[in-house]
Amino acid sequence: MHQDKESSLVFSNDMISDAQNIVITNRVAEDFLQNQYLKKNLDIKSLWVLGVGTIMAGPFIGWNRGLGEAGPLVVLLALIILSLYYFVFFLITSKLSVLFPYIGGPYAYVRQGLGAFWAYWAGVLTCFEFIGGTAVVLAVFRNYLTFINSEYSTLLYVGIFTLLLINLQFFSARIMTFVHYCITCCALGVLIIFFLGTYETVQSTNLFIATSFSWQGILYALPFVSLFFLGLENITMTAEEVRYPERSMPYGLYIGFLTAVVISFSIWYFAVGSVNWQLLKTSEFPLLFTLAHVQSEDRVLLSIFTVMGSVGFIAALQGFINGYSRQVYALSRGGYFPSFLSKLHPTRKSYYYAIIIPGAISLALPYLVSLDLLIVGAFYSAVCVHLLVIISFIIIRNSEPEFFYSYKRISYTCLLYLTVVILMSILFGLVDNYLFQNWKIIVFILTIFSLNYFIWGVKNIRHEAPEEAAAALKMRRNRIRFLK
Amino acid sequence: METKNQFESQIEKDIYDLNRLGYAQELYRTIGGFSNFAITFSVISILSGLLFLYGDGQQLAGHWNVWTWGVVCFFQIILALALGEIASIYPLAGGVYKWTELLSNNRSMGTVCGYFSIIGWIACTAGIEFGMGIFLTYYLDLDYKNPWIILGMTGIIILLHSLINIYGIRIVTWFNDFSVNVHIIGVVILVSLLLIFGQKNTASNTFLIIDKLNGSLVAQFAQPLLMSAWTLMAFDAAASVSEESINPSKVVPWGMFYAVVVSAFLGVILLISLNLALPDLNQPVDPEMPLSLYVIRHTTGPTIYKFIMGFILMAQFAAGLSSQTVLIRILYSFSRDDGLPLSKLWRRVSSRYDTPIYSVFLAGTLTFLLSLLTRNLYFITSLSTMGMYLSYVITLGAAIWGHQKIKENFGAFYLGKFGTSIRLISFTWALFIVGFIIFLSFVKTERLLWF
Repeated sequence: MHQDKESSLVFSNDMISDAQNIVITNRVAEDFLQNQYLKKNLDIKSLWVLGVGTIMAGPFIGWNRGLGEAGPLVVLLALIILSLYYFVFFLITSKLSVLFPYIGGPYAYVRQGLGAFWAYWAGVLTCFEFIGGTAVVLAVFRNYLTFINSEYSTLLYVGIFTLLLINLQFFSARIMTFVHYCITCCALGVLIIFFLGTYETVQSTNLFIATSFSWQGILYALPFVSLFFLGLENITMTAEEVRYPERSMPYGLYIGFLTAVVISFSIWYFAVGSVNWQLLKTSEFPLLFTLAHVQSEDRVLLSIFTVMGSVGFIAALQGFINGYSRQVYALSRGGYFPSFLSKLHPTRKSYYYAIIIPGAISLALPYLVSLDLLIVGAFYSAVCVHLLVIISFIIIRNSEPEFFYSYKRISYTCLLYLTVVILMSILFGLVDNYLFQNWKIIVFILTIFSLNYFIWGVKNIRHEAPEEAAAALKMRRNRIRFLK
Repeated sequence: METKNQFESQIEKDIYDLNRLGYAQELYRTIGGFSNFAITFSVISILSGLLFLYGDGQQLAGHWNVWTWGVVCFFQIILALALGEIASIYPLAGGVYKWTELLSNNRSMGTVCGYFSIIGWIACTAGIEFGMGIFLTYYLDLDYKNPWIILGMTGIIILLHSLINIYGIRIVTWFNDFSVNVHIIGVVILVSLLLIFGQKNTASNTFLIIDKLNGSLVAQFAQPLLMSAWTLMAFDAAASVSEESINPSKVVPWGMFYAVVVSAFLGVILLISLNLALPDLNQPVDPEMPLSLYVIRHTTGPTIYKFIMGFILMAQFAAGLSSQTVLIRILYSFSRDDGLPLSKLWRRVSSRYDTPIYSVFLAGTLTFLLSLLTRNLYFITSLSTMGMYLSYVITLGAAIWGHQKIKENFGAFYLGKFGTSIRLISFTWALFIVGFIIFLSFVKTERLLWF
């Protein structure tokens, strides 16, 4: 095994020699290891913080729009569908992240299963999801601050965002994670206050009200309800920085997922159960609206909830920034994006260009695109990524069954294909619902990024990058298997 | 690798030191400096003692409690220094009774000290658990005027503590570290809320006390003394885990010292914010309701009250657990030296759980019996304070008598030329507290009203 003195990023000798066989020399591989290693600072708690912190804005914003014309039960069904397919996604990524513990996450997994082109798109779509998520949170955070104090809202939200970017660049991962942990715990505390404030006012008549059921209603609700889970995939992109990925990754993924499920179903129960959904669906800040409705006399509670509610946005912003920066860094390190984006700070090992440039884009996005389109775009990107990862998983499992012994059961196979069907339905449903209306933007984006791949990416793929070297290794194993 | 070697050589040195004192290493040495501090800080637990007894004589003494707290803090820090110096020389699991025995060369004196210490720890554990039972009854909106409901709650808490102590010694360690976080976060949140939303009194009104003399100066000072003295005692908990600590000669005394200092600091902030938020006590207040709960609920409203009470109850649960753990260790250690009737039974360690299971039963039964027979928090806390401080008096008396031993065998925590004066002041202070509690017990029906 080859290991750098300070880092514990490990490249097997096989991997190096294999990469050597294809394009690179040993010296190049070693240079790459020297320059591109990341510090291994993360443990299970850090993974939980990254995942749960990222979804902390979801309960405070937007999910109530999913109530649409169909009502609470449709939102509940949408939640069940989302939980099911996120469960399957995490079930397979808990295995993939251990087999391919690289920062690319979805890009790394799809690279092994579907090749460079789809891997590139998996990476790009993950960037869309996280940059879009950042833009959504920023847009609503701006409105929230305007609601608290209209005079300084823009200054405040730009200031907080800049501080977060600085925090991510100038401090070590340990301090950054500690800050994120504190903010996330505060946000969870605010949710507990909400539950305590509403548990006596929940009425079953509000929850199980008879409304017309339709698949269209579920499709309409899905992008908004997905705000409860959007960004949870962040955990999969940390494997390269985790101390013991074999143990930490599955635990981190499952505990994060379980927390998200508990939060989302509790919010549905307490918020929708406390007020009439017809009133709730139009509110910009559903939790604050519910609390103000049922505890209008308690000034202390409302003041604390309003002010402290903002920490949910801050936790989510930090999580989303972490997510997009990791993916941009991975794509740049693999050669698909310009190389300056993967430049590391010599001591702190932070990827500052990968943090700042997409950050600036997400700051501008809310001024260019409507909030609904941002939410749908981020969700659509997430669904595409999940679909690509699941298909890749099926391909990898079929080509290298020795790594996936426990995943060969018929129940797993059924679950996988069921999830593929659900994801395809969502994709086609959303095309009809939203994306035809914005086809010009979509075609423009597809063209630009495809051109980038064919003109720039293909020529500059760096085979010494761990994701690429692992793919080469897999290719070699398959070749040997074929010859045998 | 170098760090690992240093770590191993430190443990080897600790084992050698223990052998030198005539004991074999039987327990695993895993407790570091922070965990040692955490155990002591958790047992002191300002969110337990201070909140349980906040209302003690508040209507009579007004805001004198801050000044009494300050004076008690000063002397408790001196007491912690004096006992810390002894703990540094004799880092043994038995704590005060072992120190007394070794300093006086008199086993009987050590045994008497041990009995007082055990009485103090039984009552201390019962006080925390019974107090939490009262708070839990209020929190769950149960009939708090029915003492059997409070006792039922206390019984459940004792049972949970005992089960954790039997099955999960790892959970106990985790709870101690968790307790530090809960205490600090709980105090910060509570103080912030009280300061932001509860400014019922001005700062000058809270601190200026000359014009509020209601009876004699002694009476005003003595009124909140039990609250302060009971809250800030039991820091010798750190000594009970000496044989499991790494470099105990250093970490035990410093753990005691820092626990008292941090608790004193957080306590004064909490007291000031409670006093600032104190509503007009001339208005009708339910006399059965703990005053601290009344202030918190009145200031924060019902929902935030429920939220902050979650922190307070968690802190009290952790404090009760730590206190019971220390009591079990003292019972085990005392019975190991045949200091208790049926010692063979109490020192038996379960091969399945690696815990002195009968000592756990004994601790749980005694604390519940004390709660059942007295059903009075003031009596329990007074008994605890008296027992604990009497054991300190005996230990410090032995230390003054055997000061030559301290000079000859000093450990990593040595007070040097100030040692003698600090020991004398501590001895006088502990004696004063014992005298005060005995005096109080004569007038417990009409607490200090005749001053």
